[in-house]
Amino acid sequence: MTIRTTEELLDELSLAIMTVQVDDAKGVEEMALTLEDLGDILTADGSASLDEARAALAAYAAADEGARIEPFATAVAAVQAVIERMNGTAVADDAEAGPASELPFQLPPWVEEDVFDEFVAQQRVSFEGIDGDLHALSEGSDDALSDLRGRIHTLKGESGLLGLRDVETVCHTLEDAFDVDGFTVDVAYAARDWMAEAIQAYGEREAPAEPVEVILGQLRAFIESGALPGQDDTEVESATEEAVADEDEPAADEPAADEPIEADEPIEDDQPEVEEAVEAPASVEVHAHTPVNRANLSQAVVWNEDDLEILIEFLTESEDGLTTADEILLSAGNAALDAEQVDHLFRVYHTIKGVAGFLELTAISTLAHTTETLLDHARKGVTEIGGSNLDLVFDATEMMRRLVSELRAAITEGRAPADDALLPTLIGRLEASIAGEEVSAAPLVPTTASAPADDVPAPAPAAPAPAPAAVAAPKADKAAAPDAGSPAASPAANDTKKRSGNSPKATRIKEIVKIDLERVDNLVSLIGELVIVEAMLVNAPELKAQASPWLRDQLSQMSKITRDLQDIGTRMRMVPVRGVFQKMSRIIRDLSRKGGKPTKVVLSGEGTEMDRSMVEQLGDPLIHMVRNAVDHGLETVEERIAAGKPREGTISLSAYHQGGSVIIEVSDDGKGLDREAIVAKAISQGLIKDAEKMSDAEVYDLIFAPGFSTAKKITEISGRGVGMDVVRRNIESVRGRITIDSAPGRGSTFTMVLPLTLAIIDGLLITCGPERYIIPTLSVVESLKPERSMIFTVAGRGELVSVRGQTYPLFRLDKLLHVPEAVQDPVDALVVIVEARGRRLGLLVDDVLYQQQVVIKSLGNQSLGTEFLSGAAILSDGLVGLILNTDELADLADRRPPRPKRDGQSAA
Amino acid sequence: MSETPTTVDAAPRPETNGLGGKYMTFKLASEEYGLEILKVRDVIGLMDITRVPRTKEYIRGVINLRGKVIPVVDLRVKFGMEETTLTEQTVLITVQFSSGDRELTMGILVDEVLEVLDISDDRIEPTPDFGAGSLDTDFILGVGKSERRVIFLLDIGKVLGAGSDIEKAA
Repeated sequence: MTIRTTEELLDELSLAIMTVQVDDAKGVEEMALTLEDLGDILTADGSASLDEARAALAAYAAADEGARIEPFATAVAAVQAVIERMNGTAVADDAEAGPASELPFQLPPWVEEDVFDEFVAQQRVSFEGIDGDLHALSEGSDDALSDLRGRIHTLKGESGLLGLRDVETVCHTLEDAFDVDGFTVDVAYAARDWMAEAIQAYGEREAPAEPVEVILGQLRAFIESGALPGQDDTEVESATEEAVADEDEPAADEPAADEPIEADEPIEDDQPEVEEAVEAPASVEVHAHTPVNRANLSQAVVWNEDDLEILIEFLTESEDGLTTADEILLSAGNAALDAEQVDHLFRVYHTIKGVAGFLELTAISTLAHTTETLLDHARKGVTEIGGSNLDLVFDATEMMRRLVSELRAAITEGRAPADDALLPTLIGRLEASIAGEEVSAAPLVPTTASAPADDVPAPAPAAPAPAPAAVAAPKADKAAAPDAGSPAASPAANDTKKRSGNSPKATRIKEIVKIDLERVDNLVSLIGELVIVEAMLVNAPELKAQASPWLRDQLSQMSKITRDLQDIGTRMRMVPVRGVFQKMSRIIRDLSRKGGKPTKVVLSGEGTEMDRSMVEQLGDPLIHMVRNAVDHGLETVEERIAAGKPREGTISLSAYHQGGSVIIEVSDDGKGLDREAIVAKAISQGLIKDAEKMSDAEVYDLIFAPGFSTAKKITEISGRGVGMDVVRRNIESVRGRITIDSAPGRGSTFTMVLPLTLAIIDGLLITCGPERYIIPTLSVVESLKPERSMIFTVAGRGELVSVRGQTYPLFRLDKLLHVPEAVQDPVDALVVIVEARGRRLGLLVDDVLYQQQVVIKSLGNQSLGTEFLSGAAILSDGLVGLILNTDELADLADRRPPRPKRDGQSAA
Repeated sequence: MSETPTTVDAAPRPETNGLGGKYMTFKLASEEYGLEILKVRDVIGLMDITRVPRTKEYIRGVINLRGKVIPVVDLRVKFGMEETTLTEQTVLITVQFSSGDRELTMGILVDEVLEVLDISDDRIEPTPDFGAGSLDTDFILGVGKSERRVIFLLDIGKVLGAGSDIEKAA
């Protein structure tokens, strides 16, 4: 019994920790009281197992006086841990309690499955962001820290709300760790890894593999040993912001703390009104904490570049959330909201509050906080959201929308958001309702000097009186009614700008819409079809013959639009390689530490974009390559010093566009590939007989041979090759290719040439007899018209073509593909030199028509047994052209060497 | 329309029960076949077919069906007859069916499309047994009778679906 009560108290406390504001003295006090209750229960219980929990509480009591949340949270977490542990044993002991813990992880009752799953899915993106920050941080960027804080803070809020208390606690502890002197990325990485793993596990409704205590232990150990604990308000302390804040709000600290409303802007004329506004009943508490945050508000005025991205994301998300809120409210009609609806609203407001709090958008976060508190009361059954409360929430949602759209306008125009005159009144009513008072249902009116907040019936909702607007506007973070571009507000905002010394430019807000990937894919494939139809239409002989100049103009206009559309379609699926690069950088860090090989990571071209699914598929091969680079490519420190190289190895990852392809290179400055070792190994494996005539490139290519690298020994011999066949397969599966360049003692470079997208390739259209085929341009080295002297036969069996001293095997496409009526005399045909399986070979074709981009179509999902075709494309005449896969084609050629035919053999 | 109730008990011949309905009938050489109308997507005149090299013999090639590339099966070859000679009567029927867990769309080349026939349950007989070791008739749903004609109703999924190897059996 005791335990259950304790749990309830703990739940309450955890929620309080999440929702309370740092400086909300009242809230903190309430929490302290609850904690005392908890202490009483624990003392009453007296069992030894609770000692630890009691000790934690004692430690809290001994901690600093004042409204500190951190020690508080630590205490609660500790008690929680003890209780949970006890509960576990209690459950084991107690047969009755059995069913409760059937699943390793259960969602809290208030969390819907799909909401949770969405959260889990979104975290993938969040962690990408976190990784980006961590990487930037490891490179010494200070800005990244504030961004990271924001993300961790958001994650904390969300996970807390969803009942992932352990994740929440880790976030929380990590936040503490940020403030410790000597904070390093490694600390954050450890926490990040655990959280990512845990969330993943929770997504599968399982408990994390590693108990939270481990990571918490690490974090806390770091906090303790890492010197001074940070101050509460460090979140806003970054140097630049501070400077701005000082300049920005010269009079900021003057008003007394209990007289805080809107007083931070020294517009003398308005001052009296300000004071009167403060007197509006019930608004005092809400604003009581304003002075504390105020110093940091300036950040929002100057629209710090780093925050903009988050701000814009915030705008979009809030608007989405508010739309949901509207839907819920409207669906309620006049009835009171049910528990689920209240929960939903609570989540909306909670999310807004979390981010707004981080961005120091005080008006928004205050409103969100107050509304959330009201909703929370409803959640706890203290009150219900119906009647006047429902109206209040309606008003709050409407107000929030106004604040958000004003913020959007302000960002766009590069000014501070103006205040909303109605806000204090609304907040006052919300507060009153929270306090259990009856609230007026009268329309909101602005709080003005002449009209104290309460219930003045004169309705002027849409047109805030100029005076309050002026009062409000200077307060940097406050937003206002959309029409509050009142004359008084603008100059004030301008002033702020000047004083900030960092004149903000108007910012174009980049809207971000989330779209189902499937829709994008559908759109892209439809565009692909449009491109084909367009080409067919434009090239239709009937049209060409009869088209008037006007029609021709229109057609060429249509072609242009179609191309643009295709371009946009392609871009829609493109993402920068940054994420995957940062992941590699991280892996290299880890590996180099483990392997005792100090390594510098150089990234370049992270902004290079490529198809999303390509980026995803790039991950595995890249991991293989960087792992090989660290493990086998780089020498040990001793070896490096002996070789006269810098102690620290360098691994660089670079990406760039070249033609229609993306090139990704992984290079190291290690010892390079060992030609002799590879040759020896290949001979022993029967891959080759001898390597005398093989070029270095051909020899290096051997490490991609299947089976070559599976033997463990190879890593010791060649120093390379673990899983390289897998690497090549992965790359080839996205129609890319990989080559190696290496110099003994100087390092190796792995170059991947990848198509921009999976959907479109650049191809060379060739003919063979009556048929047409497409050879991906990526595979084509060159095409040439052979002279008789360039063609040889070998022992009457194979044919060779010699190009500028290089000899390549020559295969006749018509023989490989059983094409009838193809040109037989090579001199009348063309040779296309292609790369296949790392070597070059010649293909004899009738003609090369032209190069064009084609949309790849699958050959239907029925297996046709044609691996040498990588798909089909619809050509400009509407017919299907088949796309050749040169690698498979080479295998085909190897299996069945073309038997020289009498008629084709004139050239020997 | 089939007036026969679809309940199992009511049907005189359980083997053919539920087969009644509309069939698109077509000719292969002198034989007449029927396809469940619900599986037929389009009937199109002959169009240029791109040959696919080195594939199964009965795959005539691929076509562009409104932007989708689909394989075309020469049903005659599939049934062990000689290759279809293209004539003015030759028609491509595209069918959609599920095979395993996949939806497949394919074209079939037939000599001539006849009509859409409504064949009621009681006019469909079970596939005759050709005796052990002879014809595997798994791919035939039943034998429909209309006037004096005999129509082999095809289970197109079995004819074209994964693992179908009736060309050996036929």
